[in-house]
Amino acid sequence: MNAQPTKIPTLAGLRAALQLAIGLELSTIPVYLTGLYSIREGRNTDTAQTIRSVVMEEMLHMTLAANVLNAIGEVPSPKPVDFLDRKHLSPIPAYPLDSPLISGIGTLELLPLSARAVDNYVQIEHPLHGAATLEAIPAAPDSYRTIGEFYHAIDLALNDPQICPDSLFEPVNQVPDNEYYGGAGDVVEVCDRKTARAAVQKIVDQGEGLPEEALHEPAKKVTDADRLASGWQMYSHYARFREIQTGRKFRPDQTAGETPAGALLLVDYNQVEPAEFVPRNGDGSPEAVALDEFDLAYSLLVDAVYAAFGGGISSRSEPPLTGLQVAVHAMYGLKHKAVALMRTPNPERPGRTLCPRFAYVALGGDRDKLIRRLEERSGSR
Amino acid sequence: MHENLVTVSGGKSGSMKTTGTQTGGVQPSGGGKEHFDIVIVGGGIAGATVAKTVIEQAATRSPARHPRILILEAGRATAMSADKYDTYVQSYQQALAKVPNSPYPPTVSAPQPDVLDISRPVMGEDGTTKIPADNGYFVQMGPLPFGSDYARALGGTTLHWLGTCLRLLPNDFRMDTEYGRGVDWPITYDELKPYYERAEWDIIGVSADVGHQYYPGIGGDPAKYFKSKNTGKFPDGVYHFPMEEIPSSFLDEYLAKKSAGLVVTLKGDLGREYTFPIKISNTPVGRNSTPTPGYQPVGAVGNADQGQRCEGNSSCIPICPVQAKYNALKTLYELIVKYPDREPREGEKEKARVAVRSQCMASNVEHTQLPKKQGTVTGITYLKYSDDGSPPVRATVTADVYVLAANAIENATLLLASKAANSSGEVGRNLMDHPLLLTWGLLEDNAGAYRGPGSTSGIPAFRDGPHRSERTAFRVEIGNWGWNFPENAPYDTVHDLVGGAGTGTAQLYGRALRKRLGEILPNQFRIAWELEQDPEPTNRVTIDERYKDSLGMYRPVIHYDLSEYVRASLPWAAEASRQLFERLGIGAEVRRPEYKPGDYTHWDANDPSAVTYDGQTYWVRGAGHVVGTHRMGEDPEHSVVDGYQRSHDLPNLFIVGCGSMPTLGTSNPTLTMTALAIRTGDHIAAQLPTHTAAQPKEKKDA
Repeated sequence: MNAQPTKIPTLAGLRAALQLAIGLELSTIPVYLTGLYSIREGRNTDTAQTIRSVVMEEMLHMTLAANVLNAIGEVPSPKPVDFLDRKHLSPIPAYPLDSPLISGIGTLELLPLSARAVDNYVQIEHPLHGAATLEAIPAAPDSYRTIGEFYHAIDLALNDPQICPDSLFEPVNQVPDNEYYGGAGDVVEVCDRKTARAAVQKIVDQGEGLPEEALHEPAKKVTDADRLASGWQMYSHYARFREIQTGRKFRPDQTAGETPAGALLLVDYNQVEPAEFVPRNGDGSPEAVALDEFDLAYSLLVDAVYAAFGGGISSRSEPPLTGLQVAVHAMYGLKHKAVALMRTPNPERPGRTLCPRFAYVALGGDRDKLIRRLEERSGSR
Repeated sequence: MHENLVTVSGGKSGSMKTTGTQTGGVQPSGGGKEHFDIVIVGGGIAGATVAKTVIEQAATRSPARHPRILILEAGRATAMSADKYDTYVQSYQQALAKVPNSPYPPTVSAPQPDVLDISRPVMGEDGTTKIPADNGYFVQMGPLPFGSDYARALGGTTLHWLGTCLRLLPNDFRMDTEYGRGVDWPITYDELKPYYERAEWDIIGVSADVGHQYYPGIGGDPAKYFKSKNTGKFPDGVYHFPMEEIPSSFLDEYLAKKSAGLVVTLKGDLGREYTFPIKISNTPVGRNSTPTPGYQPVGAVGNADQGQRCEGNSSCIPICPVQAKYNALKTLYELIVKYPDREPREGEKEKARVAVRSQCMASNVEHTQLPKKQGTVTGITYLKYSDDGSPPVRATVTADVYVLAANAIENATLLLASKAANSSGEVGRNLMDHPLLLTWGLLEDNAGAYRGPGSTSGIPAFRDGPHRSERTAFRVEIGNWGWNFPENAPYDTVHDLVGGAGTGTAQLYGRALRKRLGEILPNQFRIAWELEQDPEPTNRVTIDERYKDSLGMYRPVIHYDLSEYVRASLPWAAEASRQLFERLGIGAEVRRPEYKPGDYTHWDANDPSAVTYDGQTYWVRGAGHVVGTHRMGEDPEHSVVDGYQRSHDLPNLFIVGCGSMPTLGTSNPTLTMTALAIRTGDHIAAQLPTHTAAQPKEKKDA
């Protein structure tokens, strides 16, 4: 590697980077959820299971980044940040999204499950985002070519006592492990430099799919990681998406860089709702209202997640629900709304159905306007 | 590919290719039969628990012992991967009647009982059966039909259990001594306690809060009842469950508030009064919840991310779509992933091996037993079927230790068919269930029915006490799913509201219908009064040449009735319900299709489950708790197995499962069955001969 990644020289820069890291992890989730929710009930179960498990780990990564940020003295927030010389970068994604931070990742689009959508997933999860070498990715000032580079810069800053003195780390607002639902991977509660770096290490892609010389370690077999006490094995995101892409499973003795050569994995792209993303137009039609309702539900969910990262507790129930437990209800609500949208024909686009926009509407004027608009509509129905 | 091959002598047939080519160092014993350390009949929770326990315990022996185990499952293995499990979910969604076995398609080669088949045999004046009810798998000889079912598929009936994990109470183990009823167990609660703990932690994964278990008969202190001897794991013996309790439902909280301070008074024989202070108690369940530190919930088979927590899908029976509820597939899957049935690869450490063969119907327990003498099991003969209707392949396997774990009724029919282990004459006898009385009403308030697991709380007050010497104990289960059980709601409620059966004109539809449903359904609630059934030798499973299934296996022929002891509790449960409903403000009698707050309980005489006692008719349903049939005891004259579930007659045979329970208590039996299976697993691991399956057989210790 010749070009060194952009350095993060200050604590303020590190905090901004972590705010953006939370947003980066968030930004992949709607991409995958759109594919997942487009799959018709009971169809493509292997694929649905794969996408779902990846989404859950993205949520884990988001939580880990939040724990690190909290531990170095800043509460996660959806508000825009200044990062190095770049001003007003929003951590919250708007689709289609060209990442303000990672140049190699490509445009993130909300697509129902299709070959193209899966190609996008593979590109997102590939350590070099599909490029042959790091150098082949164009670099931009104050940004990174890969997700790996970005987290490497964060790790360097965390490890620098000039930026992060030992006394800085405090276990504030930590989301505990028992609140995370995934079967693989644990939440690291961050209390010092070591745990902070462990949390970041957990987020970072382990390098599957890279040639051995780029890894500086032997390439792993797809099933090497025996992560669960029960002996169940989990593949990397990249390997799992490669299986969907190629329609074949890996054999246990293969490495993720190879082409899967195991059993057939059938993906029926016809058993998918023909959802199509349409940008916001606010025309007042029932379809537009339904899309608005989804955006509001999604915005409330994002707020609930950020509230959880801020240590929020709902005292309305007994025993009180912690922040993420509150958000769980919103997550299920979102799923049902998304599935309903994807089954609703779009009258302007025959043969197509509606597609959730996952548009976050910021608190304040815009949110108030949206709520008022929806209230007027429901009053007139 | 081997349809014409009906009988083979050993392990080299096409049907057993997978193991036939991999047996490696395993030497066939006499007659070229495949030999294992242990052969287990039945791929349900009991068999899976024995296998896992033996493997883990034998590995700690010095020198370590790594047994090779074969599990034979009569049913299919449809659900051994996550996507195949989803086919069960689809079957459930498409089924018109969502009964317990609706997701699990029957096979004619391994037929299973179904609650939809329950009908009443015709009895003669003299009390004998005139016409048995044999339209399902069971042949019901009466006078009452046996009202429960089980699943014959890999994973067994844990596929559709509710997940209730109550331990037995101390007095449940000494019913004869304490109350002069039934029999005593050969073991006590304190002896079984460590195995309960392991069942709750290592096999099932139970969610509960010790402090919220308000049982009678434990001296008033749950902490003492649960106090653990394992002070290494639980400092000072302060026990806790692996996961926090599943929150009580809104209905539970509503009932708790409304019934606060209620004391039910019931009149017994000779005018004696018994009082029962009502306290709603959160029920321990095998359902994933927030883990305590160090515990990792086990998710869906092959899909560990799914089912990490109960999602409130509200279909625990018949199927948890995400497998947040424990099923035995989880344990079996762990076994086949960790202990594949193959030689260790280069660099791998030697470890146990587990083969699971589905669609293998055990047809005979081969043995040397002569009447009234001890003998030895010499093999298990089974029929491997591929497609229903094509001839099965017969094979016999041998082992050092044999385990029957095929459900109480199936264990009994197999032993009877094999003329094995029955010098006591007790095999098949003492069949028990929890006869279940439903009462239901419409509450004055919205109590949030149809949400969450089937039940989250109960009223334990009637589970123990001096009343047990004159009438049976019972457990009270509060149901969260409205009138789903007694009135087939919400469907029948919709029918009532739409109406129009007489006139052809709908009464309510559209928004008005939805609104009315919203006013009625959340107010529905029901209670199940689950009565302890006492062991009676006349309640029994038998076999009869005239009743066989398509593979030629004996169908269970069942004689079943309720004793006076059980029946005497029916009016008690009804009266307790009346007092509770009165307190809830719904004492008035109301009937569908009218909907207003009140008591909707009604038991009409024309139902197959109708039971008359003292001039009053009750409906007594089955609880799915199939118990008895090979009871344990110290005396070989009056019991089939000993306290380790080892056959008195055939010392290399263990007969495990709910069939071993001498009495039933008021706990759903799966947890106790699992604890007993762990105890048996420890025992087998300690006794397993030191040679491996690859070495010549040594003379066994008796």
